[in-house]
Amino acid sequence: MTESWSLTIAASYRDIRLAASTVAAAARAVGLNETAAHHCQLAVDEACTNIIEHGYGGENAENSILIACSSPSPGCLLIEITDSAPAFNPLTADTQADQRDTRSPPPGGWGVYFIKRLMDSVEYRYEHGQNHLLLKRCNAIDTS
Amino acid sequence: MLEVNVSYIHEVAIVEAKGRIDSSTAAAFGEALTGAVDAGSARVVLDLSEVDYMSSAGLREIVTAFKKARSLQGDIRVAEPAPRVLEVLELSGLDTFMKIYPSRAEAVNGF
Repeated sequence: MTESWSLTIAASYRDIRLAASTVAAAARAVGLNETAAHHCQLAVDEACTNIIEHGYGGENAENSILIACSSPSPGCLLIEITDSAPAFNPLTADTQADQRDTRSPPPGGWGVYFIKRLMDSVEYRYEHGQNHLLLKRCNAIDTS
Repeated sequence: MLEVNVSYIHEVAIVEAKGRIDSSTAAAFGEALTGAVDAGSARVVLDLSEVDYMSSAGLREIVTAFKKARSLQGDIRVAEPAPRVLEVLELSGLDTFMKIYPSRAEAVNGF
């Protein structure tokens, strides 16, 4: 039987912590090591923060984010993050973090950058009026 | 939860954060850090030894305060980040701009 978890949070920064820790627990349950579980937690944190800040334009208890996890194969975690903000593909966004300026650190834009670096794969689709971000992580990866 | 304490060793402000720095606590963290830059000589040691989690929300506050300190001819130096926090600093490349020390004492003495 394939295990799965899902959780809906309000668009609240405080609720992101619950979603991220639930994903970390799911990651451990399917056999990911602590590093990989932490990376999943951080990726979900960053994704949800961006949804609230940029997608929904700020915290609002009437907006929500659905986080669903499943294990497509042993030792792998698939995370799907769904929101109803206006269509936005974070994978095509040009973030400041991608443009490394050796003279000074960028003021932000690390969220998507971290997600891409920490996950094995990241996909996006817009369907039935909702953004769907799919993250997959199977093994600890070298982030150097 | 996050707790931030500010103390001084001579003219160096020690900002000690405890707990998690994420989108729900970053504003309070940033306020304390920037406040320490403004209050003294703009020489700050940011002790992250008791921070067990930090997301990019925390990085943003650190960068803001760091640039302000530099504009005042000061600096912010990081002391003793936990491995998970160090990883975030390295992923972002912030370790190429900010000095990171293995202990608070070394960070203070580095000024």
